[in-house]
Amino acid sequence: MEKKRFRVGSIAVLFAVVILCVAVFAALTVVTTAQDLNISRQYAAHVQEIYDCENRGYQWVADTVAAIRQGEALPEGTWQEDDLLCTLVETDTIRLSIRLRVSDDSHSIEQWNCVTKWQPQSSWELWK
Amino acid sequence: MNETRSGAQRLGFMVPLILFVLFFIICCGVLSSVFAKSADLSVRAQQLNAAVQLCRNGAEIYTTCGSLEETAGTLGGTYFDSNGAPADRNNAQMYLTMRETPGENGLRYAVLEAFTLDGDHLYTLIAASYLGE
Repeated sequence: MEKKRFRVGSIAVLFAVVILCVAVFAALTVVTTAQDLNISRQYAAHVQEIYDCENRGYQWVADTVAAIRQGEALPEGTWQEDDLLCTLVETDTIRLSIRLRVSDDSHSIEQWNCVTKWQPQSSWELWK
Repeated sequence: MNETRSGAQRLGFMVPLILFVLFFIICCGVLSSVFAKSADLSVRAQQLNAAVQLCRNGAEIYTTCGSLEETAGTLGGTYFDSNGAPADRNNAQMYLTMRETPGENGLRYAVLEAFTLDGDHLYTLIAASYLGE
């Protein structure tokens, strides 16, 4: 009795290897681009947070100048160092330090120091 | 008898071959869609990066000058290519809209929004400007 056999030719093996390689490349490509997009989104969120913090800083400058001109109380969180008015605006990851000099008819920003808080990475999830 | 046997042998040879070709075509289709998806993700990441940089440039200019007209003039227009460089409308990949809203005590805000040419929203940044009352 003749037994039917399915013969795997060399071309079939070659095609299988090619498909396997291309599949691996495809997986690597899609993972890399997905992480690129993830990093771009994180950067976009970080920039928004920087500008939220800076906008609060400008709000403090405007409120402080207006308070001095109108003889009202200084905004909350303001302290004086010599002849400079100072404040600290903080978010979860950003710290903005401002020193403002206000005279009778003008104002000048002597320090505008916006830094990112140091957050140590304690895990190995570098791509998270 | 021999002809029948030869036909059966040929059929037995063709069926796995056709199955193999079908399997190969399906694999190529799936892999092509994976590569297309990855190209789409890459374009979106590039557009988002360019939009963020563009809005950030506009925000810095607006913060120092407090004028939308000057901001648009310094940026070089409203339409930009995928790298965020000014471009004419035919070669542009995105456009930027700016509008101004007043705040308290002489503070002014500019809302900068970047869109693709299809109108898909890319990024929004709000920048404040205070040049005195």
